[in-house]
Amino acid sequence: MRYRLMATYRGVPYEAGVGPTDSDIVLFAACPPPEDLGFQPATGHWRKPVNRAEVDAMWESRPQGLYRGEPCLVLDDLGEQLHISYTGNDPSQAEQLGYCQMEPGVYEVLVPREEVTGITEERVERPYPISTAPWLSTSTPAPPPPWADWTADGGNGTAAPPIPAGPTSAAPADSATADALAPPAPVTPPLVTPSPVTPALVIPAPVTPVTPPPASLGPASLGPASLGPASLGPASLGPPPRGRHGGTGARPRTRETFSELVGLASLPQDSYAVDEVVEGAICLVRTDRGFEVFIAADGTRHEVRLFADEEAAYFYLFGLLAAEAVRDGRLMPARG
Amino acid sequence: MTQLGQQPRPVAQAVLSPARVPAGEGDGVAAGESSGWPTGRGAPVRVEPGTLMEKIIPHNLVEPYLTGQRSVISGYAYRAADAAQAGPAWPAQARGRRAAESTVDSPDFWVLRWRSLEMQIYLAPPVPPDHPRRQTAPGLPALDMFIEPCPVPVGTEMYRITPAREEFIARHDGQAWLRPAPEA
Repeated sequence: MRYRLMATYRGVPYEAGVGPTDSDIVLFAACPPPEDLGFQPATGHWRKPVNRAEVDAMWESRPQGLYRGEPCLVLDDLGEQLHISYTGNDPSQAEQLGYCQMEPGVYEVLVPREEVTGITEERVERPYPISTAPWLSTSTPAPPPPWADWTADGGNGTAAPPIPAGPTSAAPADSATADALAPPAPVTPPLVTPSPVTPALVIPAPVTPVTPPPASLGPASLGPASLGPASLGPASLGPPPRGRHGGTGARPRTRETFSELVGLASLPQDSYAVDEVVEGAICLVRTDRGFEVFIAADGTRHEVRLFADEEAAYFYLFGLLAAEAVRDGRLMPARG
Repeated sequence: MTQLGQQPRPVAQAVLSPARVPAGEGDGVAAGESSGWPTGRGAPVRVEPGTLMEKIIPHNLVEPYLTGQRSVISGYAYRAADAAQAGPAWPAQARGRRAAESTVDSPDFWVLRWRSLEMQIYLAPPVPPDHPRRQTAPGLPALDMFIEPCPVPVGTEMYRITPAREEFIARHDGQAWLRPAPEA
């Protein structure tokens, strides 16, 4: 559990790095991936540079929690200790909480794991094509790229780089900064025109990265035709699935539809939980912000997705369960 | 190339634990003294992707970076172009100020350079430009932005700046910092 970038490549999630441009992705694997994927061995890991367009999805995994009642970001997990960063806006408060100022405006501290509560691992999508964040639309225009002047006027002193590379600089030839200080590199052009955006630091609108594959499930088994009112009665649901407590009553139809689908797909009922957090299960709970779907493991909420719409949350949960079942071979195409 | 950070060790607690931070070391703020530096939740600032960015890092963070214990960039940064446009005096003075506030006594300082990414969030500090905390030097503009924590971009480079020269230290490959092989 730590703050990092992740990317899904050919259906498999990997830790990822980005740079020097937004289109340059490097995938990292701790264990050797299948040879045909073309990962290259590196010290302690395998790596594969890819273009952003080749990546199915990319997201920031942001473990967040509360330290002494105030929000924090978990930068790293050191076992018995967590390396956390203050996410508030009040330096005095940060210092009162016990944070260290690592550098101006940056407050961090190592704390015992048990002192950080309510940890959830938020997934902040980084969609592609890349769109411009809405708050940036009113921002100041960027100045001309520095390298043009630097390289053109390198000798006149007026437009020299802030600190010219010294004669003994050992920067490698492919160095990004070396590029900037010598041959001009074009600014990465906008990849797309601005479009509806996923605000960073906020869980995005519901997405459906996992959809029950029709070929596996068959329209006859899961399609709307099988979900007529007659099939939605409690008698058709079998034993109530775990977590279906609370008797909220306000959302019986969605829940029943979900239960019906789960029953039709023969998905294990201990693989999910509704309205409660069950270790090892994919959980759906209502919060102040909406409906969260996440994987509960090690006392932490992983891959949290937030939905404003309850129905979307249920169907996302179903999609996760169905996808898992397809992968496991428990969901097969109907025969005959 | 010599690769560093292959065997990450626990984060230097002397760096991170308030109980172990000697007064006046690390952030230049004596124990119990509020620094007053805002944490940066100001208005967003548009930085064109691909822009060369730079930030000074305190001496005490150099080793955590190079050994893989620290994998995020956060704090005050600036466009390299802004620094250049502000005139030749600004970088040295700004850096000098930052260095003086961020490091132990030393004429050297360390910088990270990277190209900005769309995913990075830059904010204007929530204090006016004439706030003493933002003024880099008398009569010179306040150019800093605050970058929210983000993973160190692939290709980020670290330099050591001395009065005499600029020394390339390492380049981040996404997992570790690669250093040039020592000269024979």
